[in-house]
Amino acid sequence: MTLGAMLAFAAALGGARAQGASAWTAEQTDHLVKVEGQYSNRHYGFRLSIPAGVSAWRTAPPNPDHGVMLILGEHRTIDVSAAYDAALYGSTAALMDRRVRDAGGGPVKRFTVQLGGAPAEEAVVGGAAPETVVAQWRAVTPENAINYLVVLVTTPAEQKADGAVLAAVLAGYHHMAPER
Amino acid sequence: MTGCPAYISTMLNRLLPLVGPMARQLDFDENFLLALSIREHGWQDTHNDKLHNLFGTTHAGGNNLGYASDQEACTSWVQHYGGVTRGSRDMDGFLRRLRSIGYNTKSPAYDSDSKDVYDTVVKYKKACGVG
Repeated sequence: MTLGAMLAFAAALGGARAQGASAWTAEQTDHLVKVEGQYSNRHYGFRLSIPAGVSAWRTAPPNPDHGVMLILGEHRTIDVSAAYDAALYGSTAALMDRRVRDAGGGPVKRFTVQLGGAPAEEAVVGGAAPETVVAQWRAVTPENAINYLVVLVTTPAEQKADGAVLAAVLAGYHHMAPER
Repeated sequence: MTGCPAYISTMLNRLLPLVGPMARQLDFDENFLLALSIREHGWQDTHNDKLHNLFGTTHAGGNNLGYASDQEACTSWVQHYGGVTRGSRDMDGFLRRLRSIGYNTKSPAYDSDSKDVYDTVVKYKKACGVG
């Protein structure tokens, strides 16, 4: 293969990769609305600052609004969400057990942390698509509670860098009184 | 053995007469809609009660929409989402169809949580002798 042909091949491969990344992002964000600067959810009572250089997306009205998805790169996201504890997990530990089961059975390390100034649990799940999950169950009334989740899905190669973005997201996360 | 807390029985008895006809109209299991509503409304939510907002629908800017009645909220849901969900055969398909029109983000927890709510609804319908 001549140098010209090799360069043309490399350019085509790079183009295909760029097109692939863009197609993946387009698929993830289809029908969603871009969020700039700060995301606020009055119904579930939380807000966060979007780190510079990260694209963030939420659902468009009239669809329900549970949170925001941050795209760090292809197959690398931070999902920040809240929902009523309608499945009645009943505690932060039970909520985290469920999420760890979802994350696919890699090695797990669990820690006690803070989310929005309140106790939460963090789990780091290893594997080909490592996840870091921060979970928090909070009672709103005796019969109603809200599950708060922050989930980083990344790759082994980007885990450290993406962990720094996650730390920035957690630092900019605050609770507010949920709408009542 | 699962008991039947009063707040759960109250919510199931309130929702079933509303979502049952919707599910029959749209040809799917009423528990899909029951699970969706309870996930969005909660088992007890005074704010959404005041708004008659049974499905967590929102205004631009994120505030939950208000309806004149529970029935109006149901009619609006059918108008917006009935077409895409009609004929859903299982909860996975129901959620996938809703996602295809942007009902939710691809949150890693959304599907498993929604299916857990479905299981919780089925369990308490039996425990409460409802439906």
